[in-house]
Amino acid sequence: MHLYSNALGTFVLNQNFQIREKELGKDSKDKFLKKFKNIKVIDENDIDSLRKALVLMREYKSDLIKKNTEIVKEDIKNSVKDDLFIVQTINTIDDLNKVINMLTKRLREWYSYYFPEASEFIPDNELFLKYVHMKKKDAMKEFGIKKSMGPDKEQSFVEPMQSLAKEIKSLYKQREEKEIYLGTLMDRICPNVKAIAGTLIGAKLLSIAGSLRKLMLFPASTVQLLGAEEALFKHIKTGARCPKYGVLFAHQLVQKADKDRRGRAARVIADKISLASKVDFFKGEFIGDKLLKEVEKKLAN
Amino acid sequence: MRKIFPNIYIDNRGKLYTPNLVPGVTVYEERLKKFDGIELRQWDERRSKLAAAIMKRVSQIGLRDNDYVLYLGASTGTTVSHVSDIVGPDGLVFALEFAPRVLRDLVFMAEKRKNIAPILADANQPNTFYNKLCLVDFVFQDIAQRNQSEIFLKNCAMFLKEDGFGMLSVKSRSIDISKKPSQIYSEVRQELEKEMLIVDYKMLDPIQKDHCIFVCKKR
Repeated sequence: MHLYSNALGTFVLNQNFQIREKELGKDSKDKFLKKFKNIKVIDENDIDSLRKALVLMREYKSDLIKKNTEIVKEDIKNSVKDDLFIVQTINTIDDLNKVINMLTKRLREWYSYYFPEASEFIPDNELFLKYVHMKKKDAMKEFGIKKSMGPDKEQSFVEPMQSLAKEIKSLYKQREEKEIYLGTLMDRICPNVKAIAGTLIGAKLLSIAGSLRKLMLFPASTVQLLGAEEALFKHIKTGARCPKYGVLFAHQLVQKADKDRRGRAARVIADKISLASKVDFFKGEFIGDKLLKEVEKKLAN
Repeated sequence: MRKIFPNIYIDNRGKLYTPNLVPGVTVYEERLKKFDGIELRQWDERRSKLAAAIMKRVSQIGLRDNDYVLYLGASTGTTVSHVSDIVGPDGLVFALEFAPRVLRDLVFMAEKRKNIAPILADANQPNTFYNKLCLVDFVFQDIAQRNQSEIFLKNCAMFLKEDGFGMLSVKSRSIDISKKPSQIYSEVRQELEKEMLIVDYKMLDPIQKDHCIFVCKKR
């Protein structure tokens, strides 16, 4: 006799693989094992018997659909881990940056018909917004110019630009909030990665990897090149020069290094990030400061 | 409009259609068309390797009414919805996918159709999901993994009935990007021939770049 249990329930089969007894909806394996002597449990190692049992399951179509839908919903629920929220937050920050840049560019273009000197003298975007709200006369005094190339217009022409500037300002605030939130999230989920890579670069790495688990499984050499996939595949495919860094290029220590030593810097940092992500994934102690010191020491000589 | 395979239609412009299992409802904003009293759903060959294979005039697909299907690499369920159309209300599709994010979309689609059983599992490890399946008549695999032919054979050995058909979509780029696609296809072919009978194969260029589809029959 054979015992087969699956998501639907437990089945006792006779020698000819016909159902002798069954219990749906619960795991009655132990009960049947006690009740019947000389019974063999079917598992994945005995494919022939398993296939014979699987034939019988064809009769349970609607149960299979119902049960699998139930299980999959629970599986999807359990698959949502906190590190996914890091990924969403960093992607939001990226999107906000894009939107802010786009709108500011438009505003500069628009405002320049009215007061071109403001855009010319203030290259900083966030500061520029302040000048949109200022009276033209005051701003001209500040710039030390007497005449403007732009025509004077009544307030109704300026107001729409000012309200747009206000919206952009609030987007800056939104971005700041999200960065703070991202920092606290990372302190909780991956403090070691944060300590070495920094909040934004660490989150970016996580976002490309997809999750902390995946980042943890990457070797350091992969971490080093995350964000440089296009260059990497070009290298493999056509033999172009291989990339030395991806997202890590923006890291302070890489930026600080001499130009011909940046690859080395990226390699050393990636090494420690890879280590840190493993510590974080298995909820180890905080060793980020120690690792960062090691990196700095290595790069100093 | 004419029928080329069971429940698969082609119109004069060369577009493919399957009968809509849930009339009036679309899955990915595809076109609906009335023909002979039934509602047909257009099947976009650029979004589905199975449709692309049919467009390339594959000689047989081995998929029929009332079939039970194991679909490996279901993704959001674009092709799965058409397979569900083809097998009809008495058929069954096990839609297996490893990524929870895309499976979420599939679950919403599956609940409307009543012949799809979604499963979250890694196709590479049949021993983690064999307790959720039954024996099937047809196995379709579309996953971008390096050992995709090995995964296919493993699943066919366990779940495909004798004389059942299997279809494998090979993405040469995910096996080895530095090798020529044709070389990879012949390697896959050799591997498949050890355990299956190859009925037909078609390269899917230019509809799907660097893809090849194999239709096999279990010996």
